[in-house]
Parts: sequence; C-alpha cells; structure tokens
Amino acid sequence: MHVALKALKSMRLALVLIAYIAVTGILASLLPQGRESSFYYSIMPAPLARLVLFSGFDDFYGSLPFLIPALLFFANLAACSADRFSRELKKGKARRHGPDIIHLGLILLLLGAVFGQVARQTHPSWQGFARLGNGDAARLPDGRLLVIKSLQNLKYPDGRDKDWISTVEVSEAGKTLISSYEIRVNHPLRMGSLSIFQAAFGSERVLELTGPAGSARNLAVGEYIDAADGRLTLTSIDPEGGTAIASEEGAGGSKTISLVAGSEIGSFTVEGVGEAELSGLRVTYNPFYPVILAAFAIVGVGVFITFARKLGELEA
Amino acid sequence: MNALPTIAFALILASAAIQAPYLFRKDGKSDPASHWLLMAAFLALAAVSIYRSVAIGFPALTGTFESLVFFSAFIVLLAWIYRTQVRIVFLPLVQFGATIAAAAFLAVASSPIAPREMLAPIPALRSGWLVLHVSLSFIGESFFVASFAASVAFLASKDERKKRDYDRIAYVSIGAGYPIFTAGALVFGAIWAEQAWGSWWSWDPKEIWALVTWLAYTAYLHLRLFRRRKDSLPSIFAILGFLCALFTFFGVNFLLTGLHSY
Repeated sequence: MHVALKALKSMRLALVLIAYIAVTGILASLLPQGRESSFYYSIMPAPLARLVLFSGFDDFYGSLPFLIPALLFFANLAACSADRFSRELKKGKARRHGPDIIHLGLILLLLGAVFGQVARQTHPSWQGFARLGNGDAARLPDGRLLVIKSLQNLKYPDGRDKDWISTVEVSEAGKTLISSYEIRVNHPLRMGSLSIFQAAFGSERVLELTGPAGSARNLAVGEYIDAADGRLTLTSIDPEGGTAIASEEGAGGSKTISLVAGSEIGSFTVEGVGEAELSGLRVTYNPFYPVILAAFAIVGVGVFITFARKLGELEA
Repeated sequence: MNALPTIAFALILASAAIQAPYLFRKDGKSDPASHWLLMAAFLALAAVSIYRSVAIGFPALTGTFESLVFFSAFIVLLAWIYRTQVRIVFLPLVQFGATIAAAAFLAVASSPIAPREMLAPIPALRSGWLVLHVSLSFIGESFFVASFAASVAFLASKDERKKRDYDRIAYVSIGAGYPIFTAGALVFGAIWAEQAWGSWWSWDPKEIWALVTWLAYTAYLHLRLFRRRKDSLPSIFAILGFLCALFTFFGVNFLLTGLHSY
C-alpha cells in the first residue's frame, strides 16, 4: 500500500503521464476523429485501420487508452498536491503555497469538466439547436417559453456579417421572467444551468400567409399548418414561379396540392413566396459552469503567486 | 503604410547583420546600435498594428498577417528590453536568435500564405476574450523564443559558465512566458470558446497542440523548479515546447482543419 501510494504521488509518474498524453494527443490530432470505420480503411492499410478501430483511436478522447491515463493523472495530481501541501505546512515561514493553489485549481477544473460532461450525457434532451424566425416560440428544456421578439443581422459597410442579434422574451406559466434580452454572438443568455447561444444566422424561403385578423405567418419547407380538411405540410417552394407544393393529410387520405398567391388554407390566405430571417440558437446545459470559472480564477491566482515569487527571488 | 512591414523587416535584418560579427568576439563586448534598429522595427510594426486596428474597428489580431506582425513586434521589443536591462546577464546569441526569429516570422507574413487584405472580423471573433486570448498567447510565445535560443545555445555550448548563463536565461524566459501563455492560450481561450460556442474545450487540433505546448513547458518547470535539474533534459523540453508552439500556429493552420480555421 505504501509503495503504491509513493508511486502514485511521484513526479516521475506525472512526467511519464504528461509525455503520454502529449504524444497520444499529437497522434490523435493528426487522425480525423469520430468517422465511420470505412473512412479509416479508405485512408490507411487494413491492418492499421483495424488497430485504430480496435484501440479506440478513432474516438481517442472517449476511449480507454485516453481515459485511464487521464484518470491516473488526476489521481497523481491529487496525491502530489496533498503530499506537497502537507510538507509545506511543516515548513513554517518559508512555505510556498503557489503550486498548491495551481494544483487545487487544476483538480477543480478536471472535476468540473468531468461532472459537466456527465451532466450533459445524462440530460441529452436539455441541449439542442433550433432555427427560429421572428415571432417564433420554443419551449426550453426547463419548461420555460422563449419567444423571438426581433432579429437583426448587422453588416459591415462591405456587406459582410458583423453581428447577429436575437432579442428574446422568456416566460414561465404565463408570467414574464425576462421581458427583453439581446442574445448576440459571444453574449449568451444564461438562466441557471442553461445557456442560450447565438450560433448561426441565415434566411430561407417561406410561404407568406395572412391570418384572420391580418396576422402574418410564414411557412417553411417541412413545417405544417392545420387547414379545414386536415394537416397541410409544405414540401417545396418554387421561387421562380412563386408557387409552393404541399401535401394534405386528412380523413380522406393524402393528396398533393399547389399553392399560389390568393390560395386559401383554412383561415389563412397565401400572399406569395418570400424570404425570412432565421436565428440559429444553441442551448447547452452545464450546471458546473461556476465551478469551471472558479477553477480558472484559482489557477490564475496560483500561477501569479508562484511566478511572482520565483521571479522576485531570481532578481534578488 | 504598406511599406512599413518591409521597412521593419529590413531594420531587423540590418540589426542581425550588425550583431553577427559580435557573436564571435572573445571579449564579450556588445555592438552599440543593433538594439536601436530593433526598437525602430518595433515602432514600425506597432504602427502597422494600430493602423489596421483603426481601419477595421477592432484590434488587429484576427488574421494570419496581423498575428505575425504582432508576434514579431513583441519579439523585437523583448530583444530590445533584454539588451537594455541590467539585472540578467546579456548573451548576444540569445538576442541574435530572437532577431532571426522575428525576421523569419515577418518573412512568412509577407508570403502568400498570409494575405494582407484588411478584413473586419467575423461575429465569433468580435470578443474581448479573443483579444486577450490571442495577444497573451503571442506575448507568452515571445518569451519562449528567447528560451528556445538560450536552450539551443545551452546544448551547443561546452563552457560551463556559459551553460549556466544560458540555463538561467531559458529559465527566466519560461518563468515569465509560462503564466502569460497559460492565461492567454488556455484560460482566456477556453472562456472565449465557451462564450462563442457553449463549449470550453472541443479537442480541436489547435487546442490539442496548445495543450501539448503547455504540457512541454509544464514538464520543463517541474524538472527545473522542483527536481532542480540543470542538465540537458530541461533544455530539450524547452526546445520541444517551442517547436510545438510553432506547429500550433503554422502546422495546425495550414496542415490540419478545425474550429480555428479562420
């Protein structure tokens, strides 16, 4: 037991693990990850491809050849830190806790990363991507309702995209929680463990409809609307001719219909074919976000204390 | 303004030409003028960066050309500071190595692989965290240039006194560059990635190589700080670390694909 503990906290082991992680990381960066097995057979000799697939090198960071050394590195770091900390405590005034603080931050960082990953894997439905147009609503994983109030695509003078902005409202059970928030690139909306990011922006062709009280509605390919004779799903749009094709599923079966300006769909009237802006929003779930931030801050403090003191000694 | 990078390049080459004969002097005397040429080159490169920043309305750090200009500027500034400071022993070979490195990076900047077109950044790059990430990464790597030159000289030298001096320069350079690189490349990079994409770390080739670079210097510091090794091994790690830093910038940008392919 004593020998095992001594080996676990040795710096030699730390250096060997650092070298292993560095070398295997380099190799993994040179090999495209997460592809189909046929891909590896197509770019290398069959025996090598078999070895890559058998060893898990095609998905290296989720494979045992990475996870076991990474776990061992974590144990080594924790054991080294505890051992070093206890030795420093006995030194009296000459104590140096900078490296201890760095190690504590790194341990916290690894824990936050691992638990964050576990949380994401146990809540797969709490993450996703949605393309929403102006006025569209989406139910968030925690039951809240997000409504797009306006969309903006800011441009540089040369016409390139400068920023994408989705102004949203968030409500819960009819009660407004956030009346207006601008989600921009690099400026997500954070609500507890959920974060909503401005991930993409674009436009797509839509069929423009007007409703009973003059309300406007857009229908994109794949979207549906309930008409008098059944559910009508848009299957294609022809921008040249200004027409659209839809399939109608009703009690009498399925039929294909053509829609042009003036066509009636239930209480809606087709105005024509147009373009609608769409905002690509990504939702992520990470209850350990504050832990990671705290870990970074601790590492920063530790690095500063360690090196400020060392450089001070060198200058002296 | 277009001629300024070329002028800076010429100044750096002139500085190297002045330094070269002094490398072989036995009396250890330094030349009187080369560092002022480096300062002039720094001012020219700083003017290029400022001009481009004003033109695109954002700190000029988001393109290959701009990054190389910034990197070269900091290397020559550090070489000038190193030459004029009095606390650490001055070794002409380290200054010469840094001068040649700055010239090499500027030569790459003038090549077709680094287009000079002034383009404002795409939305994902418009972030204060990105500015910190890129600038501090390059400032940290500027110190690693000095450690690389000193480590190569350490391995090449047979004089024990000189070896001790080279080791000290490498140690001080990494001691200063490592925390800056850690903050820039890893901490601020991760914070920016999370703000932009919702993920701290994506195992992207650039991230992996930055981590490998950091691990190499971490190994150096553990060998040098805690095991107190002063033989060839820490120097080998310092050289490997710098080669990894070079690959992180050039190799990943031009040979591999990933999230950092802007």
